[in-house]
Amino acid sequence: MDPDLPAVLFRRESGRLVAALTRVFGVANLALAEDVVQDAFCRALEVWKHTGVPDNPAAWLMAAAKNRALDVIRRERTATAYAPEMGRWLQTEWTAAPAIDEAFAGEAIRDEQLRMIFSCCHPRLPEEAQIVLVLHILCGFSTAEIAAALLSGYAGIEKRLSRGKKALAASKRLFDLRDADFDDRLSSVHRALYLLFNEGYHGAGQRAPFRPTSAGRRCASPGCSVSLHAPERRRRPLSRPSWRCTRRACRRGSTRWES
Amino acid sequence: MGEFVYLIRNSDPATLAGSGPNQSMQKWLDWMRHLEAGGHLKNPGQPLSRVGSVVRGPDRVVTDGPYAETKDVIGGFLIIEAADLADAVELAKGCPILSRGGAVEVRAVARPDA
Repeated sequence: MDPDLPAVLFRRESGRLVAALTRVFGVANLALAEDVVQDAFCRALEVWKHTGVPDNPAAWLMAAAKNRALDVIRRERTATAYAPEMGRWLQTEWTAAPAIDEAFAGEAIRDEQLRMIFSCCHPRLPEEAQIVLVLHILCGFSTAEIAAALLSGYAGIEKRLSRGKKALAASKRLFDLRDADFDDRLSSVHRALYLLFNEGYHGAGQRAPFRPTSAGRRCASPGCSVSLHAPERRRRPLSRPSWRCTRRACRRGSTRWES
Repeated sequence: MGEFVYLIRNSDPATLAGSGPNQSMQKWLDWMRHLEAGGHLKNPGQPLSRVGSVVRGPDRVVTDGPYAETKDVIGGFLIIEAADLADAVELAKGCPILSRGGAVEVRAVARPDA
């Protein structure tokens, strides 16, 4: 197995999975969603040691996360209060599996990522906490990486993260994209996306000043989802990351040429 | 309004929930959502496993498996609320088990005052 694969996969997939699982479990159970994703990754690394990496590791991980979620729901069907709009369908074995499948389906999972970004940009949270949350939950950045990226101490980021997660879990539900304060949050979301892109551009760790995969992904993924929902006039600020993507490509080219 | 129990009977073991392909499971979700949207779904119930025993008579004779005839096996249940039996029967016609050769038995819950 490529030694970089787990890190790359985690960065790419964990945010999607956490977002979909938060839809299933409800935002109050954000920690449970994160645990399930961790479990799925552990299981993957364990199994792949023997079987080799499957052709589509992302699909494998998603299936593992779904199965794990179903296990959790079966075990704690009555003990845990799940998302109100999902609870009914998770209660019964007639519908639990297809209800989970639905949350992971292509369009839905993109919407969940976007909802998660908007939820992280909660007006009650200070701006730096919003960024830290998005970096951690949606982009799979570790506390140390975020600390390095924001030139801040590990302990400080850790505190900010746990406070932010608590605030997020205390909100009744994930942000609904049709909510009245969509516009209020949109500017914070734009700022967060811009900073995320910067982060991908410069790279968090000193050893990896440039991470093309994560930058490209972040620029493509949240951007696409936002443009799906936002009216035309709102798209403009998002064009910036794309522009920087092009520039990045040029710069890469020229560096190679110079050396 | 009255309460009715749907007893889902199926002949094909593969149609039991949890073992069927996802496409048919999605139909269950759609049907249940339809019932819920109409305010009919009182309790979504559960599908039942095929494993079971029957205890019978004053001698408490225990036999394996619920029934010898597989078409009689109850594959699950749910409880709905409907105006009357005719309404409950109409709603049962949307059950995905029917297109796979199963049956829905619609039974009114007995009420002492009725």
